Amino acid sequence: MVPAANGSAFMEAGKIKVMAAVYGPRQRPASAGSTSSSSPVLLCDFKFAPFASPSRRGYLKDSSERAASLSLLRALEPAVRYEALPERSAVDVFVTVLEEDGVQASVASAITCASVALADAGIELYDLVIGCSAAFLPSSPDTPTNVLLDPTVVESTHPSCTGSLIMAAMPSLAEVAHFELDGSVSGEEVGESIDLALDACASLHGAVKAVIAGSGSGDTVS
Amino acid sequence: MSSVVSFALPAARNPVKPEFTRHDAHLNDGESTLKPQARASVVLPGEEIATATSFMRGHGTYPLNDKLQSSLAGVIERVNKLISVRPLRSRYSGEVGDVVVGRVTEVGQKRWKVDINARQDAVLLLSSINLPGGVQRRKSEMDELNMRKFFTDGDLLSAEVQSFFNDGGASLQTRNTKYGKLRNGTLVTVPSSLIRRSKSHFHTLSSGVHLIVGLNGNIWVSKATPQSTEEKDSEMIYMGTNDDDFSDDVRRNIARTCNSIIALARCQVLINEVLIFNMYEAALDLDVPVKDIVSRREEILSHARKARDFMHIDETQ
Repeated sequence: MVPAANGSAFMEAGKIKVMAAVYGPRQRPASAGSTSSSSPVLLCDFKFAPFASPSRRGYLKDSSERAASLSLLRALEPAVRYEALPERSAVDVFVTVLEEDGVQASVASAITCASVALADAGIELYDLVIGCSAAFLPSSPDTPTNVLLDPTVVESTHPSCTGSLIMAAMPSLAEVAHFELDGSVSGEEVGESIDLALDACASLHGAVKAVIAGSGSGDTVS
Repeated sequence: MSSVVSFALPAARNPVKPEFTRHDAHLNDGESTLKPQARASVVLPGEEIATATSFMRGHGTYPLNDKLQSSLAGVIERVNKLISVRPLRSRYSGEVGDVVVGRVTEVGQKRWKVDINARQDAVLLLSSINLPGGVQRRKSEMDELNMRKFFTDGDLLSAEVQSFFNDGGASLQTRNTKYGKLRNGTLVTVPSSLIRRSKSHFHTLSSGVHLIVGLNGNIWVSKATPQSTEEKDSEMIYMGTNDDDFSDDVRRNIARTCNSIIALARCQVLINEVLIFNMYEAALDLDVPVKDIVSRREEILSHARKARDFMHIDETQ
């Protein structure tokens, strides 16, 4: 995907198109991380392309993109085997959303895409990290469940939407890497959404593995 | 929230079983069993590769509940009881004696940091370079103050890997006239896996182009200069400007060579001086303009493979 990167991946999920590039492990620049510690660092950068949304976004990162960068870092960190990285090294992850369809779903796709790019770069990981998002809507007679997985922008910004969820799981290890809940949601709904999201992560994990196994290292270089 | 909400995390789920099995044959090894997918080509991080503890864990694996999991996307390699995963793609990891081409990133106390596409920057010590004015001169304090006159940030250099530090970083040396600052040319970067160790990494092609094939994937393509002048003038070795007599023909030859190398890298073939030169000649033979070499790479490569009589190389040490 990205010739200059050490590893890269592209993913489409519905309308969402995400691109991830991984550089490193490489010497950590003096500016990155706390200079006193010699432990390796993971640096995540999440950005919507200016043309990703119906309304134009700026080139500089806004607060939602900064928050998404942090979510991405928090989701990927548990999977990275830091002890396998050399001291004073850095791994840079750059995720660009080329077309978005709801911020939460975009972040979830970014997590999946970034973990595949990390694997492509030859970074040691405990497992692939698979992201999933959900929106909570008040239940109505015609919809038995009020949790929508990977909602579109219409669903996640609907006025009656009471909350949203971003979850990242490591399906092979059956562990949750990251969990982010917004809004006022009942415990029952949260429990239900976790079950649904874990199932979704597991099936997406199978799909991701099948794609990678099918293409081999089909990624072109240079 | 006013009320206390309590919820339990869901019970541990069974790991996802891959639906695709590439081989059905299990590899039986006494009581231990290598998973069927472990016999196949590619595993992914988190994938179980062996069930028993009787295997020794090598690179790219980690233990989990008496099982061995892969932590890399790569190919399983097994030597007797040792199981390791070789990554499909990895950064350059050097060996002592490797010829590398790198870029200075930092000037420090008696040392330069050099980016050689490895996991860490390499170190070039002031004591590991040839000082101007006599090869065997002792280094003085003036040399320490003048370090930026030898190499400064952004300079390209060729060097040899001398040794490794405990943390895995490489130490370089340029104590040979064939190493040192690079000028009169262009850098081409290709995946380091496409370059194999060979007898010589310095080549002068009959087209008047000089190649330094760095094992880290950096290839320096420059104007060929008669060796005698380089050795004579010790002040010249740290000069950072190009020659005045740098003809358009030579520049075009360099550009053609660079694009031939990029084309070879896109074709995913092992790169060596013979193939580079054959590619170059094939492009000339087919009358391909320099700018179209990369886009018409397949055609040129098949022509280069058919006509093997292009090869004319003067080996230079």
